[in-house]
Amino acid sequence: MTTDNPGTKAPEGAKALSVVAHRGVALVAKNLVDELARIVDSPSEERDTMLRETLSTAQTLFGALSEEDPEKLEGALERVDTACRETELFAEVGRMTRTLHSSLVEFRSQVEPKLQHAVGTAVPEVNDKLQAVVRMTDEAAHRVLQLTEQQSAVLAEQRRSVESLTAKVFAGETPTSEREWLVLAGQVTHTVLESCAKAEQLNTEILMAQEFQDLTGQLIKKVTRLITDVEDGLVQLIRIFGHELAPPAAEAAPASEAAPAVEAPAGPCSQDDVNDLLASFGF
Amino acid sequence: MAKIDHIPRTMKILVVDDFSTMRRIVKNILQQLGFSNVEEAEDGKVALGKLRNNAFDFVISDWNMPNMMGIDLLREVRNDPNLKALPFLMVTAESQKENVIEAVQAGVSNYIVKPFTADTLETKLETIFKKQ
Repeated sequence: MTTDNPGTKAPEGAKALSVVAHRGVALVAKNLVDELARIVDSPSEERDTMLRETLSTAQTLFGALSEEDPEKLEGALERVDTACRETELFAEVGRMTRTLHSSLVEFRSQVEPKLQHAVGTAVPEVNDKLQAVVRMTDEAAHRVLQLTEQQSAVLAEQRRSVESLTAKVFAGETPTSEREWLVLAGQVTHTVLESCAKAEQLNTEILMAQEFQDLTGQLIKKVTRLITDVEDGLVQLIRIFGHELAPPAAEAAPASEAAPAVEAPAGPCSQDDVNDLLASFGF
Repeated sequence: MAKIDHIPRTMKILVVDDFSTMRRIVKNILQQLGFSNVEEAEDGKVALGKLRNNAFDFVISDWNMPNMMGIDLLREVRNDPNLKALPFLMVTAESQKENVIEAVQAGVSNYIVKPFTADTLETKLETIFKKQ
């Protein structure tokens, strides 16, 4: 993950804006060329005038294209707009220029700050939070595994103790007096109760180890909010520049030569689905 | 546990997964089933090295791992004359039909999808090491 400070992201934002604006201006230029084609078919007296005015407008327009600074670009577009209004010939060019100009203004005032924030702040923040989630869940899992291992040890020890205490009895060597019976019963009881206490304590610790979920849940919610913000900014950007989001291309079903006859569900499979699929291969 | 009593408990098993918690869980379940001769590897490349330098009887591997994925490890094992018959169980979160087919075509011995139960692992062990 890069650790550029947000300040270095500013020129990149302007560069992105510049690229988009250039495309818009290129569209306007194309319109201009189409107008030129129409002029060629006009009566000769008007043609010269029209050609001169067209050339002048084109020069202003291409001057705008050479501007990399967004502010200068805005200014150049305003000049093109004015030129178009004066000739009346390039109504369409003028209209598009005005649309592009207002889009740029909207972009710079609303979308660009969002994208700057996204790139400079949100993305690094998302990375940090997700790394924290990975770390916390990893630690919690290890802790619980360790506790369950300790539980197993406690239960194994209890089993061993009881078996050891009662071995003689089950081998036929029963206690001879009531007192001996009581002592044996007492020892077994004590062992079992002690194990119960230890197991109970470990259970509580396992319970406590689940507290990570509250914290990771909050972090993930924050991440979701950050990503939604970035998404909003991107959608606005796309909307402003007039492109519609293309629907995702329908996924062609992979033609597998060894496709089994079994009808398996399109989505993720359960173990039962997997077993059916394996069975069709002869497993 | 009766269904896998015939499998020698000294069987040397390699557990391959990039998440240490998952390796620990699988190791614990194997221990409960009586198998304590278990080693671990954190990716396919490390696993392949261990398989080539030691005599393992069984591999349990995840799919998605850095350096070498489980599916590629499987292919390497099946292409190696010394390892090609090694029982190889895939245990993975990849649950799409295409993944199972790809694994089968690459020569997997069986396939478990995560999350899984100890019972499932035991059943698959029984299937893989079927009493002859």
